[in-house]
Amino acid sequence: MEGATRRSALALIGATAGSAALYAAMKSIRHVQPSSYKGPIRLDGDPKGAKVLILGAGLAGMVAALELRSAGYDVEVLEYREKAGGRCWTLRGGDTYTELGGASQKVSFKGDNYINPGPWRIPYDHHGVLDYCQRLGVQLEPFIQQNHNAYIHNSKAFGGKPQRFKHIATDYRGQTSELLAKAVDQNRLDDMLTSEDREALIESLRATGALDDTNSYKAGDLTSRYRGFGKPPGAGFNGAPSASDPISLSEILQSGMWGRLADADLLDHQMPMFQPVGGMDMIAQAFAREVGDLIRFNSKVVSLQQDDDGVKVAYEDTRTGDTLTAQADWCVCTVPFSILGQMDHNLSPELTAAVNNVFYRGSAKWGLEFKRRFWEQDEHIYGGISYTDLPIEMISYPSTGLFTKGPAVLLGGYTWDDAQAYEFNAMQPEDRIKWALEFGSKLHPQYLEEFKTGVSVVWHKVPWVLGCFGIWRDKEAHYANAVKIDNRVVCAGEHVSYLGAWLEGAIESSLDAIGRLHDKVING
Amino acid sequence: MRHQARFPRTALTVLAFSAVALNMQADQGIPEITSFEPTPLEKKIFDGPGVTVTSGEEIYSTLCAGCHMPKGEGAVGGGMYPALAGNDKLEYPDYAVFIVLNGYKAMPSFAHTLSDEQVAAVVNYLQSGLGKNSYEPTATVEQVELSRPQ
Repeated sequence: MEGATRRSALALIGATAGSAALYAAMKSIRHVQPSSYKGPIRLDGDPKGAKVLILGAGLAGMVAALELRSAGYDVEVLEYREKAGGRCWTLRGGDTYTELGGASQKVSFKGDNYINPGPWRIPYDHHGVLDYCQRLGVQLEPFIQQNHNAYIHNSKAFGGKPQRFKHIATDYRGQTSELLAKAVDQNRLDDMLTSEDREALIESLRATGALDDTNSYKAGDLTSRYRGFGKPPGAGFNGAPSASDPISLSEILQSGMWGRLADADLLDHQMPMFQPVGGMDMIAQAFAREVGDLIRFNSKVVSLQQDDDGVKVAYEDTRTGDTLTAQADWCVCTVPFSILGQMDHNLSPELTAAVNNVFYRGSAKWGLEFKRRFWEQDEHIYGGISYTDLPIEMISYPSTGLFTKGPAVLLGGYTWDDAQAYEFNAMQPEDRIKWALEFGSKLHPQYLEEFKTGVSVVWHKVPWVLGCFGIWRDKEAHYANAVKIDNRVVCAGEHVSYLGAWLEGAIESSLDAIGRLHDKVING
Repeated sequence: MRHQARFPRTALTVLAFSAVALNMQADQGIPEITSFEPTPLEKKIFDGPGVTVTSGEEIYSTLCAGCHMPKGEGAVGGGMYPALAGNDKLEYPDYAVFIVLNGYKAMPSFAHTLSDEQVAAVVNYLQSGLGKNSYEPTATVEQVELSRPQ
């Protein structure tokens, strides 16, 4: 692979393995930037009562509100919705969600059950989110990303029967290790390895691949200790275990099931991951406790005008229909570019071009409530994710409330594919639920018997963002113009970051923006 | 562009539908569903990789209608999706072909999601068929091919 670029590696994967592999690989190379959070921001110097108008009360807006007020600014926040948080959002029993087109879903989950339609897991190196959670007293718990006992499912392989992750993962690793060890042993790779490294490599492949001393991966105690036994070890007269039979390499290769094996090795999916106890919007609620008094809700900004003296915003009170105005010296605009691009504004041509360069990705998510945790009780799956080639793409089991009785909510699907996301987006809520049950029942036949209720969110129909997250058509050409302070307005949000779609992107973008804005206010 | 890669739904050649009664109560906030019998169009949607439907009306109702709404009426919330019914930008096909292939502002491009034939079919449906639109449907496959972003 000497000299191979990421793109040519992708082309190679595509050419040899088909577009399924290409897509999986592309997904793997998606956002991999670690957080650059450096600790709480310091905004020294007296802003002398300068007023900042913040548009949007998602995490980017509330971070700006919190930090600018404590630095001495006069802060006002306008928010379209009736509550704070934006995409940092949780649906619980009693909530009603109305999507564009008018369809309403009344959520009837039991007790504290919930689903996070937006962000749902926090990587360990998203230091900004984790730090604010600690500062604001948001309790975190582990989010189980990786579960060796969950499934990989391909409706066209193994007669449509889902396979345990540990079987596919162990057998794939074991048999590819076997091939490599044998090639080395047969001197096929001598031109690439020193003799010392040949020996060490074979030894390491035996250790990591569960190979025997003939470099073979085969049914026996050793491999069963990784992939699971035929009859598990127990006690008493009949306690002796029996080995299990590996799945052949050819079957695994042809099934394509290796496509998601490395998903939890991605930097932003590595264990441990975290989630707020009680739902992702616990973070939004914590921020709102701090800055809620600064936020005017139900306020739809329709115009953003600036000149050398300040910023003037017109907004509509969505309950009364009245048009009102707000003025300030400066503006932090966290409105998604999907909305800002439709607003009447006089931003510079450069920033306008940047705003219009971003399109918004679609995605669908389901929260399905079942009468009991059959995945735990019948199948011993405790949290984690099962992957499928069906349009729902995955099922994620709750990381919390393990072993409890009573109804529980799982993530019944999370789509990324363009075609699927559009197709689910065009369906009405009850049809989306039908399909999620239909597809999910291919992994879990208990679905139809145990189903109670469900809710789904398709992001292109979310009235206040018109999509899941922003994607740049040409980031190189426009990104810097989006970041730059445009006279008296600075933009912030996940779309103005290299951590797109993550809470961390919203937080870091906001901190970066207000840091520069403050510097301009103090130092000119 | 990597985000436009398609996930091949290789497996979905034949779906066995479970016409089993679902325990879904109207008072739980969702209309009662007693069994799952997909409509012929629903069966087609997931019958293969990518966008499987071919007629302009089918493409519109299974993709475009999500944002522009079933009758082309558009929608308004914090932002808006423009109405395509009664939209005089559809008198000639060029504008719609360009937008479908390139996207516009927050709207994604469909260049990698739809074939030349599918783009021409859906633009013709926008011109004549959707709502009361009754312009002459003049989009051609050749035009779409020539308009594709390089």
